Parts: sequence; structure tokens; C-alpha cells
Amino acid sequence: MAAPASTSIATSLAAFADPPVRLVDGPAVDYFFIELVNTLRASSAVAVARTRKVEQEMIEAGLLSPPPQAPPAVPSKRDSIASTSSKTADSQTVTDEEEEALRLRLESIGMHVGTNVAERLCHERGLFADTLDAIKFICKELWVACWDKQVDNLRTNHRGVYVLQDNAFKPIQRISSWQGRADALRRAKLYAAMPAGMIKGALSRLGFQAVVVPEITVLPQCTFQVKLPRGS
Amino acid sequence: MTIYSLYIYDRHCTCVYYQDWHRTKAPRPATEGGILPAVSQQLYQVRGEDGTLSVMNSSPRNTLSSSSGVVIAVNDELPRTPLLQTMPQPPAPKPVHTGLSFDEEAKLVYGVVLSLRNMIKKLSGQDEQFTNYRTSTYKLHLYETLSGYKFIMLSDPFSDSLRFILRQIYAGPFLEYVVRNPLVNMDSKEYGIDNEYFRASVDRIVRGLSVF
Repeated sequence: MAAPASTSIATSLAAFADPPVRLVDGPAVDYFFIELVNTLRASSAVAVARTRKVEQEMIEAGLLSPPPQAPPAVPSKRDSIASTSSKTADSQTVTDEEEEALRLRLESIGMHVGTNVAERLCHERGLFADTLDAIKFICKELWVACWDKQVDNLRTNHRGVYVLQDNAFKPIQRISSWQGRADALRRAKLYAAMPAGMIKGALSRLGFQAVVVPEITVLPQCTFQVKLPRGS
Repeated sequence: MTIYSLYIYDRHCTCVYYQDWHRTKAPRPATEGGILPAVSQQLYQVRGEDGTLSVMNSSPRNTLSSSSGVVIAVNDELPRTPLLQTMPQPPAPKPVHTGLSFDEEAKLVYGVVLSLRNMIKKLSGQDEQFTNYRTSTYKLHLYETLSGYKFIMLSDPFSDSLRFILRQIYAGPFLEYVVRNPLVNMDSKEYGIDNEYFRASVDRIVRGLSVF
């Protein structure tokens, strides 16, 4: 009597402890990311316009001297955004600022996603022996969980710099433009920002503060340069 | 038995894509502002800096030899079909253009299809579907999606219904390289859906057909 009840409790507890893996539909994720980038582009344009307006008001009120070249320290909620170009209201610099703001937003979203994905993927394994082990975890398990394949090539200079190369990187695989390959390449760089953030977030949750730089030379090949601080 | 051309219209009744394989007379490039950008490279005209109208660049069908970015085609050197596109020497006979510019042609094609469709629905009820019509020189096949995209293909008059090919194009290259492409702004009233991968994959499908 007691035995069957306890086994049924045990099986349901086991289901809680080790839930079955659920997958997300690939196209659905793609559609969501397309909308994400478009929405964030609009929102970062608004945010950049707002900070510019505030700066302009402060300059007019005399609180800030109009800077010829050096950018003033503008207080803003996103402490990572800094306008690195001169303050001439050039349309080119405005779009660059907006692109940079968009890229930063995508990267920080990627970081949050990456930390949680890494948390979930690591719950069964032991500690990493060294940084190479952690990078290999990224190359194999994170890549498989997010993009259905493993990294094609991993290179290192044994001094904390790793280069991960994927010859057919999923987020940029379908990017194609009517204006030719160069245009598609230029616009594809933005779509590698979130994956770079995911790698960065995963590494940070594992305890490694890294700087991740994505690079696209030939579509759909993408490389990520991961710089880890020495001695960690 | 051949395929002549393919038009795709969206639910706003504008032509968003055009590709051709065999045509007796080359399409005349559209008047400025007549068609959207990103419909077809060979037909979209821009006003250059010196004020002359010219086609943007000759779209290389063979993507392996592309990316030179050299403007080759100006109005009267427009190649008759993509197959005759030998780069340095222009083809000896000057290609004959149809009398209409492309935007007028596209509107006429759409108008024919729309009117026939409405007439048939009125005659026989909502369940009846207009699938194709035939004249002495061509046969026009229509495949319409629930989302309002109309795929229209012109082929020689003796071919069977090509609706299944249009359906293949929809389910394959369209969903892959147009819907899932972050750079293509679907349902915008300002741009068509032309892009390199889509064009190449449609080309591959059509050329691989037995009726081509």
C-alpha cells in the first residue's frame, strides 16, 4: 500500500528534478528576433534623440560648455553609452550613435539570456579545470543548445585570447540583401551582437570576465574573438 | 516547353518581385518611381549624379562571378535574357523592347488577374478558384496565398498547370529567404522582396524543372 504511493511520488519528484528538455521552434525564434531588432532600433533612436535634446538644453543653459571635440559626461541611465564622436549634429554621427546604442542593447539582452542558459546547462557538471575547459564548454554545449551545431574551429594564442569560428552561423545564415553582398555583410554585423552577448554572459556566469568581439568577413561565416584576462 | 517569367504581388497590389528566363522582347526598364526598389535590379532606374537615368547595375545571375560592382547596363545595352549576359562585349543585335515600361506591364498583368478572379467568383460563387488562363502565345498560372501574395508565372501555352511549382517556390525559397530574412521588410509599401539568395534559389528551382 505504502510502496506504490511512494514510487508514484518518487517518479513525479524525479520529473521535477530533471525536467524533459523542451525545444523552441526555429522559425518562431527567428521571427521574434527580427521584431526584436526592429523594435530596439526604434527605441534606441528615441533614446539617443532624448539624450541629445537634454545635452542641448544643458549647453544652452550654460551648464555645459559646448564641447569642440571632447564629449561631456552626460548622465544617463545606461552608463555604458558614451558619445565618442564630436558634437556636430551630423546625420552620419547620429546614425552611428543609434547603431551603437542598438548594438549595446542587443548585447546586454544577450548577456542576460546567456547567463541563464549557462546556468541551466551547467547544473550537472563539476567545476571547470581551466579557462580552456570553459571555452570548450561554450563551443560545444552552448552552441548546440542555441544554434544546433558545434563551433567549427577554435584557435588560441595560449595567452587568454580565443577565436571561435563558425562556418555557417545560424542567426546570419539567411541574411541577404538586394543591394549585393557588401551591403548584406555590413548589415549582418548587427545580428551577431546578441550572440556575442550570450557568450559573454555565459562566461561571466561561469566566473570569467571576457570581452567578446564578433567579426563577419564572409557570409555566413562568423568568428568571435574572446579575450580573457591573463592569469584567470 | 519553357517558363517565361515570374511576378510576385503582395496584398497591397504592388509588384514586389520579378524574374524572367525567356522572353521574346526584353522588358523596358520602369519609369522613375514606377516600381519599388528591390523588385528587380535590371529594371530599377535611378537618376545618376549627372541627371541621366540608368539601371542600377546589371544583376549578375551567376552569383559566383559577382561583386565587381561595375555598372555595365545602360538602357540600350539591356541584355535580352540573363543567359546572354557576356560581360565585356554587348550583344550584336540591339534587343527589342516591348512598347510598355515595366511598371505599366506589371500593373496590366495584375489587373487582368484581379478582374478575372472577381468575375469568376461572381459567376460561380466564392468556392471557385481562378487558376490559369491560356492564350495563343502563353499560359498564365496563378497561385494565391491566404496572406494575399500572388505568385504569377507565364509559360508556353502547352504546359500543364504549374501551380505546384509556384507552391514549391512559396514553401521553399519564399519562406526561407524572404520571411526569415531579417533584412527584408515584408509588407512595406516602399521596398520589394528581391535579394540575392531568393533570386538564386528560385532560379535553381525553375532551371531544374523538366519543363524548363
